Amino acid sequence: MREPPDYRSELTIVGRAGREGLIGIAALIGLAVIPLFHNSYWLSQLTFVAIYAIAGFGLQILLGFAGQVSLGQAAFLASGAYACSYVERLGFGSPAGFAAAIIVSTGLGLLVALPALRMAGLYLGIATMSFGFIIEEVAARWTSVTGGNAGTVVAAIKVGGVSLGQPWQIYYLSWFMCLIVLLLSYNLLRTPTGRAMLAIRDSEIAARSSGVRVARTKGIAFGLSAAFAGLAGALYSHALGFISPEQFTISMSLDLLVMILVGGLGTLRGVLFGSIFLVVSPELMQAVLGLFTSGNTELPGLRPFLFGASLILVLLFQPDGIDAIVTRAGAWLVRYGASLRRR
Amino acid sequence: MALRTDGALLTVTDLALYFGGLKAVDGVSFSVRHGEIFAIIGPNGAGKTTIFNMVSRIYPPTKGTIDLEGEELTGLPSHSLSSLGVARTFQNIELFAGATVLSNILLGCQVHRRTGLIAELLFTPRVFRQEIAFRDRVEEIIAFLDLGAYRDVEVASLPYGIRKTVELARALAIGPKLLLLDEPSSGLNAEETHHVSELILGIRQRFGTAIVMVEHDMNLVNNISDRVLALVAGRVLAEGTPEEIRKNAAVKSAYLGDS
Repeated sequence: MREPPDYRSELTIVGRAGREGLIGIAALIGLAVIPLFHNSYWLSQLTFVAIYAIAGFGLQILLGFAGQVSLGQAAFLASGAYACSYVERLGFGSPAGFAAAIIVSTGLGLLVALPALRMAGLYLGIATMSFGFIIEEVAARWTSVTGGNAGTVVAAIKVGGVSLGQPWQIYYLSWFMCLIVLLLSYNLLRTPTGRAMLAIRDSEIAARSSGVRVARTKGIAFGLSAAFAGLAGALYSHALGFISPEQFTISMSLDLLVMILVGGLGTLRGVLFGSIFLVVSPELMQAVLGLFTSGNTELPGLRPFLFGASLILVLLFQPDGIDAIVTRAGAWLVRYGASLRRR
Repeated sequence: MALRTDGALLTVTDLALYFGGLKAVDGVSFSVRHGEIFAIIGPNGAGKTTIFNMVSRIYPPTKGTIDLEGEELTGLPSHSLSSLGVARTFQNIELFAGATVLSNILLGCQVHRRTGLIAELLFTPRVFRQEIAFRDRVEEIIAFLDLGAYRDVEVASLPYGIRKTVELARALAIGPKLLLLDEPSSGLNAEETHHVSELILGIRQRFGTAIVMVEHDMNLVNNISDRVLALVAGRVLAEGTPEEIRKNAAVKSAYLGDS
């Protein structure tokens, strides 16, 4: 029988020894020094990795932990983006704008949760998708706030008179927010509310008889997922400098879904892998194709084809996603390293 | 904990559940004392599990009352039962298959939670202390049920017997006064069944928990229960000690068919 582990050390994050800690620190240092190389295109791509990851953590909480599907996450990004830019245009500054983004999106998330409590599976998917269409339509028609189909230019983030408009500034801000959201999600997963989510995902009846308030827990999952999406939306609007309804379509909701399914359903690391996949794989594919085709031809159908094909491959051959592949590759490397040392 | 066998813990009066014209349970009354091991027996369809589902508030009864130490249970939401000290297991095992044994048992600690969402997201010192306390509680149960080898294993990959024990562990983490076990020996071989009977006696000994079980294995029922309720077609046929039930002519004729 194994010894009971030392929970105190298990519950600390900083100062945790071992391989995972080292990899984490290396990744953080890597993220911190990248702007020094000043490749503004890749810097902005990496900014989007962080932004998609923020929204992805939200969807992971909803789908991966609580087992509630959403095909309308783009709506919460939209509400965050528009709420933020509206409040900023009124002259309240970016902190108020971001707060508004989170509050408005959370409110909408809780609103969606009300009917969603009576639905599951396919029906919930259709309901959330319809909600996405509604918000898209609102964004197109409510011209005084959103600028309608013509879109709205988003000014640089301003905190107390200091403008954060440079690509490297948004990069750091996005990754800072991303790490905070990661930490919050990690904390959720190891405390009672997060465990209650896993419980209702796997067996509502057992969850109830263990004292879980199912409706309340689902509501929290919707609220948190919308809050994170709203924050992502606010960052997204500033990273692009321009927002219009056509950015927040079902296609974005599906991208987010593909992202957590390909990255690994139910794991936080999987969100990061999925987000990297979402941003980097179309670039890679384009580069590879560029070797075979003459000149710099843009292939318009590449992105949906690539995501669709990847999703099918993952679901067929590796349902646990990139995260499982990385875990296995890591274990293999460790074994390989050990065998080298023995020689 | 001292063993208490005085006074009624659970009193069920005139309980009935009708599905249209079908009387699944009809006019059933019984009471269970503190620290008692109480078995409900009967052929398939006699309404045993249905009674469990009414006591744990999964089905609302058509009529009748369920009283737990003076508190009326009918009308309460099912999630509130665990905080009143009622825990249960399920006939077909209801675990959180995608989570580890540890998280499954930790979920039983849910009722002892004293922290809010925001504190949990921030993992405040209070949450930290609560997690330590929960883990201590869970480790005690893991040691008691000898589940240490499976602590970090995902439940879906465990053999049937172990999953049954994990479900029992989760119920114990609630710290129940009343434990409802739906067919604790189903799917187990003779040796495992013997182990379960010792576990049940051990739980009463250690935690002072009253146990109501639905059970088919008459050996198990005769060996460990204090009293037995025999049901047929949703009605009470007889109630008494295992000895009395064994000798009861009505029970014999209903179950064995000889008249």
